[in-house]
Amino acid sequence: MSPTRQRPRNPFTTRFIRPGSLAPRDAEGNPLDMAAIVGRLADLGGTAAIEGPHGSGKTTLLVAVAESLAMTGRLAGMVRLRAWSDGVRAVRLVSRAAAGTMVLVDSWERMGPVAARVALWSARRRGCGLLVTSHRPTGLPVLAQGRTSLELLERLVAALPDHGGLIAADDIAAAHTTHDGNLREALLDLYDRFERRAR
Amino acid sequence: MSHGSETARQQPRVDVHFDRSHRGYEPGDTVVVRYQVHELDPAHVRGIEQSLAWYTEGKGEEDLGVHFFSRLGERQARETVATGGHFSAPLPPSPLSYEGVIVKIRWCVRVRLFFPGGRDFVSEHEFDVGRIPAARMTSRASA
Amino acid sequence: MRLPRFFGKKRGHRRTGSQAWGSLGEGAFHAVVFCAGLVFGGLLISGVAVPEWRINHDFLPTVCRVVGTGLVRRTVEDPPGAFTATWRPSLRVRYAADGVDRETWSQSRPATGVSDRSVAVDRLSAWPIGTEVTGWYDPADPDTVVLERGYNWWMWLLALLLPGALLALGGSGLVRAIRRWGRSEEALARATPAPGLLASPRGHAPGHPGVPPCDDLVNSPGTVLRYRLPIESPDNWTLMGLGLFAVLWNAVLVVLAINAGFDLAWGRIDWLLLALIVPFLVVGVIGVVHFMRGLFLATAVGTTQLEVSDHPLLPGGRYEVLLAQGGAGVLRDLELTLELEEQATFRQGTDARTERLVVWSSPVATRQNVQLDPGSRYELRTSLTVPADAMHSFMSEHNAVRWRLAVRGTPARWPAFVRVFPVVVFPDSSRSLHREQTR
Repeated sequence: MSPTRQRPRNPFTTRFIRPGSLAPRDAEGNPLDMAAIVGRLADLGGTAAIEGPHGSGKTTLLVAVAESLAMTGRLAGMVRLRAWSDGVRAVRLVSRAAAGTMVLVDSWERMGPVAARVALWSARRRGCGLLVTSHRPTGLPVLAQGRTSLELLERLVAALPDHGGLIAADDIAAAHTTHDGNLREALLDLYDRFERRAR
Repeated sequence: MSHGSETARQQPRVDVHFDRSHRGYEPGDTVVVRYQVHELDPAHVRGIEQSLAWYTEGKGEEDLGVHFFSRLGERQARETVATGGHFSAPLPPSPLSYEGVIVKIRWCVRVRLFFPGGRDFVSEHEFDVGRIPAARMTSRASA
Repeated sequence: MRLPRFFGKKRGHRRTGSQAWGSLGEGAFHAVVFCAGLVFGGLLISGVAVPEWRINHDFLPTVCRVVGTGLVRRTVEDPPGAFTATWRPSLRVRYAADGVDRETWSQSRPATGVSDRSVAVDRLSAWPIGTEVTGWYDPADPDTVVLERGYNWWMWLLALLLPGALLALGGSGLVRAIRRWGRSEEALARATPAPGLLASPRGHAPGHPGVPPCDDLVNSPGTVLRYRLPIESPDNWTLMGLGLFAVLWNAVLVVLAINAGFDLAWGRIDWLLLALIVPFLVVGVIGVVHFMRGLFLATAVGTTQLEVSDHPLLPGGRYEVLLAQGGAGVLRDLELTLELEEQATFRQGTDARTERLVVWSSPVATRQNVQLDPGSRYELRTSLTVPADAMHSFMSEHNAVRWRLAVRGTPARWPAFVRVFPVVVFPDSSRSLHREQTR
């Protein structure tokens, strides 16, 4: 058997930790009830924000909400803001969304103030909802506040494929402390620890 | 290794057998695969895709390279589910399987089953190409 | 039932779902863009291009007598809150059309409008009352007459370019979405090979999927050995960028300073402008200092050249290497190393994060107290052996395994430098193929 299959599989590779691969959880690590989340979004009027620091699971929750909405045919589209042109796409998406549907935007802090106002105004006019993620306050109703904890990180690690005992509780605690609760950085830190020990 | 979805209406299982029990190949070798689909009513399948592919794993985005690909239509797919399927393909000279630190390259056989409504189920089974030793972490930083 | 995943990025070991939703959303967006292009193009063509074409092809000539002059005023709000007027000369003419005498105001192109009323009045003076001019009337509407014909070519270009861009963008996206509709990840990857990380006419070496091409590495013959390797110099790009920034920033600073100077010369003091100049000056000076320092450091140590006896390299192969170092002074250390580096790019939230790691390193040659003489170059000839079980070079869209020769030097009086020369290692199975190609 070649080295690729001799060694234990690193459970912290991007295929297992990227948004969409892990189910969203609350700050204590309990799986979120997506039906309740979507219901709360409706109670907030359909336009809200998921706020929180980097690596707190905002995009993971956004992706999960998108999937729930898609099941009921209420998702108009989702945009991840990486370039200025993505802001234009987001505005276009909102301006063409049907009433009662939702548009999801990741990294709302990257929308310029004018584009953001246009998008919000369009959403109101079209009667569609807008759910965004941001690591800064948006002024929108908050659907969820991204908070992390050591317990959450421990539960995420437990939900990943087996690490074969190469990662101890101390490692998880150290990764959590080193990266100030940033889950993404902590998981990538654990990736490095696993690799060092697996060799 | 066959994985199904816990939320699927049906939970098929695909057993894949390689012509080499240790699943180790060299570039240029022909990989011969036979597979059997279990716990699935053949009438529910709309198509099957068989592929031989490599993908990257590690700290970067996953990249995928498909070396061999074939798609079975509905009739052929139902026959395959009932009686089993097989395919073979010669391996290219590269890329070799590689157990790096932040980049790994893996080869696999994928059998993807298609159901009504656009749903699908994929079963992935790894094998090795080449015998490159695992990389080590050095103390030298990248320039 | 698994929920549909339409972001196309999930790389799970388990995977069920529908690609259909993803393609639908993408297709809808591009369909909208395509339709916008059709509508926009249609409006431009029907509103501008077609009327202009009719004037030049359908309108019939007639003799017009000027019986009156006037100005057409058009007011626009630009910028918001400020109103701008344009004046367009217009002539009242008398002419015969279809055997009937008519009198009307002539139509002229909107482009003839001017913002200065006096200029518009001057233009009218070219048409005294009683002047006879040639005009053209619309046979479908004889009360419409024009005194000028021709084409606004820029308007035609606009009519084609803007909607054309929308049609191309939307159409191509729509076609792509339709082709991707409901297709699996493997089917898509099969149809569209992933491009390599380097800009290259081919994504990979011929017959070697995933192995980067080495065309750019073998197109420069060496003076002693067969090939001279190109240098990978990200520092040069940084230096160029810094230089460009310094030039542009200081150009703005000069303009501001000149404006402030003129104000002072006229006895006016614009405190806001002066306050703005101060931070600009600070940043400008820092930019120039950094650029000059970088330039000096880059040129203080002479050029480094590397030649190899053959390329691409093969596992287990032994190759002659020639290192030539220019410059002046003494190098306390000079080291040539063969290294293997992994590179992985991951989209971290909103940013792309690239991590590099050297996973194998072996010294090829080391020298101490190397004396460099200006006008000549120090040469070091040695050999290197690629490990027999070496991983070949690999490149995909987000990941790479790269071999390189690194030259590290520590000058006696300057900061240490590192110069990297990429090389490509082919898989061992290419040995017989390589022999055939080099015969």
